Amino acid sequence: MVPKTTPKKADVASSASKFSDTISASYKAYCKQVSGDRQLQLIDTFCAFLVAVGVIQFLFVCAAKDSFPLNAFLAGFSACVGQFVLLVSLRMQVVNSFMGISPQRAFGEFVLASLVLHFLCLHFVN
Amino acid sequence: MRFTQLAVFFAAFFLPFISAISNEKLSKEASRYKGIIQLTNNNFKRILDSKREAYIVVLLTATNAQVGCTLCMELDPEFSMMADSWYKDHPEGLSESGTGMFFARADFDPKKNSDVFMHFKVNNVPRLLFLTPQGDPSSFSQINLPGEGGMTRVLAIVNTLRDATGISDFKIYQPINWGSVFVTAFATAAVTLLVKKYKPVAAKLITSKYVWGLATVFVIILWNAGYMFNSIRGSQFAGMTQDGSAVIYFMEGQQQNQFGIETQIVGVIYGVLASCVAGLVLFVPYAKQFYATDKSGRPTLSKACFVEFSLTLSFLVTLYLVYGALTGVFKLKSPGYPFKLIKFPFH
Amino acid sequence: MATSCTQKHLIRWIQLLLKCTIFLSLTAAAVSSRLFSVIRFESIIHEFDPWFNFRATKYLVNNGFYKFLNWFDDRTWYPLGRVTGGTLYPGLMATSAAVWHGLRKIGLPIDIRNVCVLFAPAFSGVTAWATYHLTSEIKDSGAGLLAAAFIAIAPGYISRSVAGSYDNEAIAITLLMVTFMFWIKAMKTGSIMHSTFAALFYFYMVSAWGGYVFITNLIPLHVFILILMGRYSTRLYSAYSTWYAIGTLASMQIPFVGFLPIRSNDHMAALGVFGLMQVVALGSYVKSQVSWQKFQTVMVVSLVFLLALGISALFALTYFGFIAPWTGRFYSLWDTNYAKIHIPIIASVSEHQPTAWPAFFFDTQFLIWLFPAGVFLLFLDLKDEHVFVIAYSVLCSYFAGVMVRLMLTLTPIICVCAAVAISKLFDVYADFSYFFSSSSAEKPNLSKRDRIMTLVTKLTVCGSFLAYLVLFVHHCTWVTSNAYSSPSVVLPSRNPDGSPALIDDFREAYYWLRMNTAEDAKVASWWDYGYQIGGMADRTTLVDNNTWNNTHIAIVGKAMSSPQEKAYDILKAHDVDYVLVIFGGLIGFSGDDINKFLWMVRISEGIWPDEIKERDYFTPSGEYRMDAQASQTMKDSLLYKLSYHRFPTLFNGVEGIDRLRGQNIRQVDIGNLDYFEEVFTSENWIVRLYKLKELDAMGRDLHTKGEFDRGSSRGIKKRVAKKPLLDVRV
Repeated sequence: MVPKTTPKKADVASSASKFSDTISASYKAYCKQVSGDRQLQLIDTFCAFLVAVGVIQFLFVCAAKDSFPLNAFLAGFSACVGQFVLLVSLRMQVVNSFMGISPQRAFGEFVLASLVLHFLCLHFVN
Repeated sequence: MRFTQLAVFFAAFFLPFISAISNEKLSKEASRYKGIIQLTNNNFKRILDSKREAYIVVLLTATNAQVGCTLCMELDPEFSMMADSWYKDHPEGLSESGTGMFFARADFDPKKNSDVFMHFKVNNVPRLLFLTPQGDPSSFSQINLPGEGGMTRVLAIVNTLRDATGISDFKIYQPINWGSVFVTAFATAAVTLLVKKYKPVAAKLITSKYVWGLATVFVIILWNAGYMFNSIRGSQFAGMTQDGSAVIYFMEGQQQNQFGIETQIVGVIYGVLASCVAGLVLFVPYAKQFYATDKSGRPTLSKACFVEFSLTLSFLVTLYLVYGALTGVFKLKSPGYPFKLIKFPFH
Repeated sequence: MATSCTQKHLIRWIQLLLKCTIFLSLTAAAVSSRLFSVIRFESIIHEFDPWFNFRATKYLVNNGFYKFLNWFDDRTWYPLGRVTGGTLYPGLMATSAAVWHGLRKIGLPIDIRNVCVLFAPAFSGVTAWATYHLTSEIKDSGAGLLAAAFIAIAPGYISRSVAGSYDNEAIAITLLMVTFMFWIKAMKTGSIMHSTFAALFYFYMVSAWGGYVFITNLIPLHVFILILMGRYSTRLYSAYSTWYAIGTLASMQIPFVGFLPIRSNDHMAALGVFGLMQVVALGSYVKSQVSWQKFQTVMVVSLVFLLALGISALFALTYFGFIAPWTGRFYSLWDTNYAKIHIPIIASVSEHQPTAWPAFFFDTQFLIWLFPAGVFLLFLDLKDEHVFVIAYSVLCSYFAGVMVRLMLTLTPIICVCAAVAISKLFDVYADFSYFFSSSSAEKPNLSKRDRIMTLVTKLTVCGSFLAYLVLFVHHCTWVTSNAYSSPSVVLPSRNPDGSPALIDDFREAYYWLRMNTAEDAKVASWWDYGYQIGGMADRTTLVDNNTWNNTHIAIVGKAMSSPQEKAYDILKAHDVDYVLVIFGGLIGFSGDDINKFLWMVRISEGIWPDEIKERDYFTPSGEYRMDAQASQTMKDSLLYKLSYHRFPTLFNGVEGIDRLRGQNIRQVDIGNLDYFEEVFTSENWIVRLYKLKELDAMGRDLHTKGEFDRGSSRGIKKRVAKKPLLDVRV
């Protein structure tokens, strides 16, 4: 009985430690990546802002217990989500540019997509 | 004199009750054959006596292969399913409200139950007849058989019976096909054991492009050859000529309808044609490469060229012949089609 | 050096010239092979559904876009009306109106009818161009040209895009190929711009056709398979996330779609893959920072947790009703018995029947066996874009087998795969560079015999496949000319002496209706003819092909199945003035109302099972007959009386021969028509129009009035006053 449970406990403990190890290692690597690069810092701050705004919108709907008018909420929420996704795509290209797409072209495409996204959101808000 | 008169009078009074077929007698009769009363020349008069207290549903059928009644053979298992479901819930034949209903069947046999068929004046089979309690033995109504087979037909008949008898607790149980359950369980167990034992081989198989490719192509060819039509419409596997002597492989002249066997034939044709093309693209250059140098490494280009030539020619000829067959088969289905690749001598 | 440079330039220019010529001839072939019916008959809108689209386009052109989006149509589904602006897909009409306006601006005022009729052939050229680009991404431009050639003339696509077939599919297939072209380009490069274009054309597709759900599920399926295969990359993340974010937001702008993308189960797969993509991106980032061992446990734990969370959330939301389950139309594709039992209207449409194998061969000829060969050859390369083609092929093969109508979506991918197969074949066998290369270093020593043998081999293969291609062209032309160019409003037939004759009964009747009835007259007919009546006769109808209200259709069905008096009451309660019946018994037209009668009975039985019973309309032995053996309910029904009224007078007055059903119809069974009067019957008795009789001025019910009229017309004077009993001699 006893030998069976201790390996199990050790298993769980080791996986838990692996988990925390992984998280701390990735956090350190992330800090290192961002520390020198102004572009990345800007992008990441914008992303954090968008997440905050999205969460606030969602909490507002939960607090008000009513999502009317739904199209307005969706427009606002999709603006946050869409812009976040576009930012992450741009960030990936800044870190490691894609084959055949120069960084300037990547930024240009990002601007175009953001304009389209916001035009659609404005139309949707009504 | 008076005593005999009284005796006769009492007998005449009580005899009907004694001879009247009660629900208990009917259920005993039914339980002899697992819920379906078998009608013979001897017992049908008694069972269909006017003093019965229950509804009786009679199936007159002929499942003898010589008669060739395909609908009878289709209907038999459906009728058995209905009767078995009823018997399972109500072994006494009585519903919740006390109404009795029994199922009876007569499979045509000239010696044993021809009288039954004559009594009902039936000359077409199958016939599903319905007798009400307290009714005359010669008064019966016929239940229409819906064209669509399987569960839809069973449910339609059950609905009709529900309306006619007022019995609401008639549930249908589809019998579990123990055979197929067993086979599936066995196969799963065998496959799991094999995979566990030969893990690297299994891993290689699962990641192999060729295996996935062949499986995908097989599935695509199957679906393109009309497999879904067969499984949705439940089409016949193959047709028979009028006299039952030969098998018809293709439903001629019908572009919107097909037999089950047509899917297989056309699937094989597509498979052969696709393999010829794949062979021309992949196999011939590979063979040419293979024969370009012999075992000692000397170039044997003439041999390679010859191999290439003969292989290509054989692939092309096969392709032409099978494509011609496909066009011919399509012409069978759509007689107005004007193009052909091969002149068929027998068409 | 310089010569090889100019040589390269020259070759490039020749290639460009060849490509342009080929494209021009392809477009010419595509357009011209769709013009058979315009040349044989005239420029007319075909079938039933296109008439509604045409009417909507006319409204749009006359009233402007804003009024169109807010259009409430009170001339259909009387008295309910239909919120047309919010229940149609505006893409087709908007495009036609834009084309019409554009042509006017450049000084070519073309009538809107001609714009609509020639719309589909014009866009088939664009489809060929989009298929060329898509296949170039899959293999190379040679395969692209072949694929464009195939899609230009393949009968599977032509069947829904002939001139006159002004239906949503005309533009939907074009947009399908363009969206897929941009998606493949985006996925290969990770470019946000291509993704945005893919999303915008996806929006255009959503505005044009209900089958956009196919794209909504195919692209996530493709991404999911790639993730399962371990081919996640940042390019894939960029492409899919941009497409989903912008595409879904855009698709919600269409009024008809509304909030469906977040409410319906059809769209949940895309959302699920979007969420999964974010998780995989995060996981991939973490993995790059840590050792594989440590990462494994994290990955397994988090995956299991997320999967459980996702599935339970989906089930909970569906259970509580926030997300609607799969809509009936699409669910019936998986559970193929569902429609027959639950939604008989879907099951009754002939296009929704499963496909038998001749239909596949008829629509694509030899492409159908090149298709599996192409798929197998793509399996051997198995790049990311090939996974898309394979997923599309498998999914669409299943759907095409289940429903004839979806053969249309399978045809483009058949063309692409077959083009890849033939292109690879020609790569191997049309390579005559050996015979033209001048440097001896490349040429191994081959005897003359070997050279001739190689040449013969290559020429035989090329020759035979060229012959097959030519046969394909012949087949496509034959199929298009014979099978898919019928306007179905005008029917071709032959006179007894063999000369061609046209059966123009429909237009004759609709035009009569248009000219001889009041503008606000209401016409009751079976729903098949609603759009045509609205389009050609311009009268208010009770039910039409949109079939959105089953009960209303059941009301018309009940009226047709009931005896005269009941039918009169039902129709009068709905302000109906005219009843239109299609009868094919005189010339053998098989699409008539009596053949559709059982569906009328079934649909009305679904709503009133006590009053209408399908069994009553069959003979006691279970047959569906119209002659003396027909059941009394059948003989009493309104449709029977309206179809056969005065029919025996064409024969000997006692019995008429119904050519379509091969039965003799007796005058005594037909009886008298007291509540309706015949106002028009077309030349071949195909379309028959009846007017509801006015109520009697003296307050009698119409049956009594009819009896009286017949009695007095027979000349028998009815003695109203009895001779007095007293024998008074005067």
